[in-house]
Amino acid sequence: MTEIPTSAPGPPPRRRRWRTVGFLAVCLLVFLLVAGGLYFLGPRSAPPGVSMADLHGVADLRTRFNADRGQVRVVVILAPT
Amino acid sequence: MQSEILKAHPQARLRVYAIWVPKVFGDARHRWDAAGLTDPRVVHLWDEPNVSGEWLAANVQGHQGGDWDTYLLFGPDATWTSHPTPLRSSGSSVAAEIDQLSRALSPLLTANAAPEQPHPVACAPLRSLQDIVAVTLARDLRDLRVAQR
Repeated sequence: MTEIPTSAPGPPPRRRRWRTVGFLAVCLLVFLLVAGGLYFLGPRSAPPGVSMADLHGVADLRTRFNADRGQVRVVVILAPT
Repeated sequence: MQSEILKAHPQARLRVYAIWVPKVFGDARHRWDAAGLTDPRVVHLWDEPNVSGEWLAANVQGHQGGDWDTYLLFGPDATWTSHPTPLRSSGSSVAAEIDQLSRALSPLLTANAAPEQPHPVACAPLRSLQDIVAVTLARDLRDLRVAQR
């Protein structure tokens, strides 16, 4: 009597497919997290010749403001992002 | 701001204090790129403790903006003893109110315009003896025609 060959033991095809989909989803998520982190948290740089000083409190701003008396002055408060 | 205000008034005696504050997630000094504000009349200042906006919002009379993404406009006569005054215009967000800022700014800049540079000489100077001869001949020819009439 000859034995009928059987397929290798393992999860059914449908389960395997879900595993593949899950793996790809995790890869995509990791990629998005890394790309998003680089975009939102990565360093940027100002154009050459443009620099930024540290503001030492409101008194510092007052000194600068009064030193520029005679000019029209605009104060703008902004966030880097 | 760069295009609407600064480029529109390249000779204006104007100072812009661009105060950058860490306000939302991801804000940091190393994330600063000047946002296109490259005009030398702009002073960029990093306010790490994030105090200036709140102070201005709380202490400047008539301020109609928030404590960030906001502007305050002062004329050339404004002084700051206990607080900066008089305030000419304010609002937020800056992008939404840029037209209002521009309208409020124009009369102040007109009144405070920088002295104009002398205009370039209308006619080119004589460069050689040949030029002098040519000009003299042209003048004589013109006088002759006038005399003939």
